[in-house]
Amino acid sequence: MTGILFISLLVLMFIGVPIAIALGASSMVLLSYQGMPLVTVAQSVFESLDSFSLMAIPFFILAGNLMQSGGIAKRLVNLANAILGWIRGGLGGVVVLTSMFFSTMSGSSTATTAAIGSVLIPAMEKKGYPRPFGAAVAASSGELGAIIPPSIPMIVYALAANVSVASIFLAGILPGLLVGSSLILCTCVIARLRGYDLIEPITFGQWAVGVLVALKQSIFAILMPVVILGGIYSGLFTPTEASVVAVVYGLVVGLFIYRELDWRDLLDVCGRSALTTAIILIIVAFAAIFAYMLTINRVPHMLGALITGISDNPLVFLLIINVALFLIGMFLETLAAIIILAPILAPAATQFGIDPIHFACIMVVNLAVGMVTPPVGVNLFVACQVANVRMEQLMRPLFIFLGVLVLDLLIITYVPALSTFFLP
Amino acid sequence: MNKNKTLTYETGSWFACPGRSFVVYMDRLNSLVTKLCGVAMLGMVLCVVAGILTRFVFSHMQYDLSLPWTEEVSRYLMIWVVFLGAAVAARKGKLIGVQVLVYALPRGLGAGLKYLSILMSLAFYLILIWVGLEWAELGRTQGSPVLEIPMATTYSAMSVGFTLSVLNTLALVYEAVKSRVGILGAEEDDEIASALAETKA
Repeated sequence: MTGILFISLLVLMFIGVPIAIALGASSMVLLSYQGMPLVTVAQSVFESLDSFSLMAIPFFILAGNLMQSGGIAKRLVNLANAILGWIRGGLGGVVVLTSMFFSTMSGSSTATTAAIGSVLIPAMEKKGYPRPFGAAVAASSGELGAIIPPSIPMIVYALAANVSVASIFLAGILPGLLVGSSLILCTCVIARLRGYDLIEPITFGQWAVGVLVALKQSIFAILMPVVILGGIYSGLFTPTEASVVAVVYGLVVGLFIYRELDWRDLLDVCGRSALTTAIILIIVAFAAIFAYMLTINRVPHMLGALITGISDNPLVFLLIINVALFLIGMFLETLAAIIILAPILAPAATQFGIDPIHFACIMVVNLAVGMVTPPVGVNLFVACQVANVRMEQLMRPLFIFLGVLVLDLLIITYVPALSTFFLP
Repeated sequence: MNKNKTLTYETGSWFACPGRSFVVYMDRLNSLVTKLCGVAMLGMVLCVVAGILTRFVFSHMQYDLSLPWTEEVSRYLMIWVVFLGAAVAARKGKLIGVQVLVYALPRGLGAGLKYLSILMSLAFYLILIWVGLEWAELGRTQGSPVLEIPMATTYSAMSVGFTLSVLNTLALVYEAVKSRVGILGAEEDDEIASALAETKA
């Protein structure tokens, strides 16, 4: 009977019906087949939207947009450049490091790629990097936006699989550092081998002065993650309250301290953030009725039984899941994939004795790689546009970074301690 | 007939071409609704900030003052933002979907599939307008937990939003047919468009 649900979902999705509608419509098909009233859809949609935790998503989107318009991004680039610029291949590393800083304030990968790529790709070209290489670095470091907290995919996962947002945020810290440092290492090695990025040697004193000056200029930008994450982990704020603190912080810094945001821009930024919010949350809303249909028809249970039939080894289970998610991520939007799959896979993972927070990390990291895998990868499209290169040119340098990301994913999968280290 | 590839419309040509002024008026309505959504976002921020301030500041000053309504109002504003924002997004086909097949197929076939999916979406919107009205009717007598405003004021967001979605989808189709960019050229991707908008600003 649940066959109807999945077949109608897949057919609708592949003919290009928006995912929110495909989820709602396929649930309605099964509802009417089972003789249940259609008003169940409305009930479930409003129940899922009427949630204070969900509000962290619009606020983090707004905060990210405010950061970008408010001049914070530029200062972060300067800081990262002061820290890493002296190494051969350092400028490539600067892209990654700036993405890491940026990810601690914004939950969006594409915004990170666009903001940083547009500033740094031309700078990299001047220092002898080919443009497609610059674009590939910018695109793949966008992945960090989804892993380093606060992250919108993580909030969505937490709500879909019913785990704590704060715990997933904590779990993302070390994997985020792992992915970030491996990408920095990779760019430095390639730059050295290919002879990009000639630098003049500087003394430690010059370096320290440079870093301090940049730090002074960007102090308000750097303090922000301390406020947000510190607030959440000390238990002072809920994630939603922390997200609104981020908005207020972004407003104050943009309007009064850096003064790069004016009141007229503000309504524009808010309107744009509202649209992005709606596009994400409408999927969350209709995924609720879909998840309800799955649960009352015991789909997660059946899937668990099916996979146990193949192997009862959790390591094999994780491998199967990773391969499947990687393939799905090539075609499906990260957020949509999380919303649809988390309620199905999370209970199955629990049956295998996998820590729910560790599993959350694996899923988010894996599906976020989907943003940089062809044929459908939003980060690739954005990077191509800001760097003005064609998708085919991007492929060769990109595959090296994809290899690094897959390796990181396997480490995160098979070393649970990385994700659970900070958990109580 | 508008034979230009660029989408320029003039107002006041109602009699000359009703469809074109329909698109113009829809776009005006959409920019108004977008502004309203922006204001609602600010409203949500203010409500939650007020909630935090009362919790932190007044509890330290030994006043027993909490504002439970702030949370309620912000949640209801968010619900309106979601349905109205999704409706505005429908104007440029910005709702997230899987477009691989549509673009992989030969152009004519892909466009045909796209029109089929638009037809399905319209049917979905129309059914949900009706379901939403039924649900809002149930919420007429029910009050919200704190402020006791009738739930129908929130529940009607679905029918209102999807009505706007239907109108916007028709405007998208009209524009695609008339401007000759085709249905595949008339759509935009929100995530990419907004990420790039930031960098150009």
